[in-house]
Amino acid sequence: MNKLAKAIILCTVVIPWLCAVAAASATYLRQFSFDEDNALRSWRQRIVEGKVDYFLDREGDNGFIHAFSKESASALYYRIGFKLKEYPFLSWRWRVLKFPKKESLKEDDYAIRVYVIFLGLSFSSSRFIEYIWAEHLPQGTIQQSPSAKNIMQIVVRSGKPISDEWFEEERNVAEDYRKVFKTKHYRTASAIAILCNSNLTKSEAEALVDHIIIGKTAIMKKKEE
Amino acid sequence: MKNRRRQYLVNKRVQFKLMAFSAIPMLLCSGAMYYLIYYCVMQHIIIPEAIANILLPAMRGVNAILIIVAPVVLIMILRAALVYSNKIVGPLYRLERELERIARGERSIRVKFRKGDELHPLADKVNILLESIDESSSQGR
Repeated sequence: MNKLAKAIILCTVVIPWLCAVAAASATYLRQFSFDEDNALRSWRQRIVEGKVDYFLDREGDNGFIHAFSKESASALYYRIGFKLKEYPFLSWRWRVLKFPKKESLKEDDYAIRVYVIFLGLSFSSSRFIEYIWAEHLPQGTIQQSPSAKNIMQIVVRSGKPISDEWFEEERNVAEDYRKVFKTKHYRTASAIAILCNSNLTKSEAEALVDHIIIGKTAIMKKKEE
Repeated sequence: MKNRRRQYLVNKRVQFKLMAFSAIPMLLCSGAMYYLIYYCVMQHIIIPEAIANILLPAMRGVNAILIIVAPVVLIMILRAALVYSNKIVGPLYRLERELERIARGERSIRVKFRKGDELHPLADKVNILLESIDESSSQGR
């Protein structure tokens, strides 16, 4: 076997196989710690109504996303394709500094929400899960978004925090998908996103997000163990 | 005025086929383009609230225009296809008819297509052939 053939086999078979093995053995697909100065370089902003200020903030060595919305709504998203069967867990840390002033529960303004986006061939065949921190809705509430019936909102944290502490969340997205869309046929996830908005209530909202992890296993439970 | 087309549909089967061959790919391409634009924009926007509040209302506007414009465009495409198919099928129909008359003994007849018709070289070749047949038959006598 000549050198060229060896090089071709190495590039087309061995290296992809090693990468696949390494990926399969990794406990998480992607981890965003937001500690580096250019941590938001691969994240994109999509304006819904007015621009929300997303910037990297620091508390000592720890970096995180700081979101501030003034009568605006825009999302920060990261495109990443992954299968829920392989990476069902999503975890993150968050903290709300200011909730939007809601007069009605129907107003779709939340200080912070985390999305998992499953795009299909059309909008109606796409699926979206939003994990929200709601001031007035009880924890565990599952509701349709007023924008569309294929956007399902799950209240994972409720009410104003008493102290300035960060809250850690971990969701089995595959289980939530099954529960809210009543199907076992998962779509491949296309992106994750965060949104802070206050455009409908014409008020202000402010929140912090940190340490987003797309994982194979429950990382936080492991830590607790 | 004498050569003005009175009848555009001279051979229904062939002309309908030609019309279908021109209209169907055009419709399929238009549909595919429409979907491709929608899909790419949806992929680009990605955030559901933005899709629901920006893209979908825009698509509804486009659809409302298409409901009015698409039938008009379709009729125009079919009419253009009918006129063009007549320029091909018409001369063939005429050639067939003239050849039948020649076969019945009207030797003086020459094939003449309308201005704007396709296949004029064919008519010229048939006429040359008829001339040479006439010449050879008169030499034979």
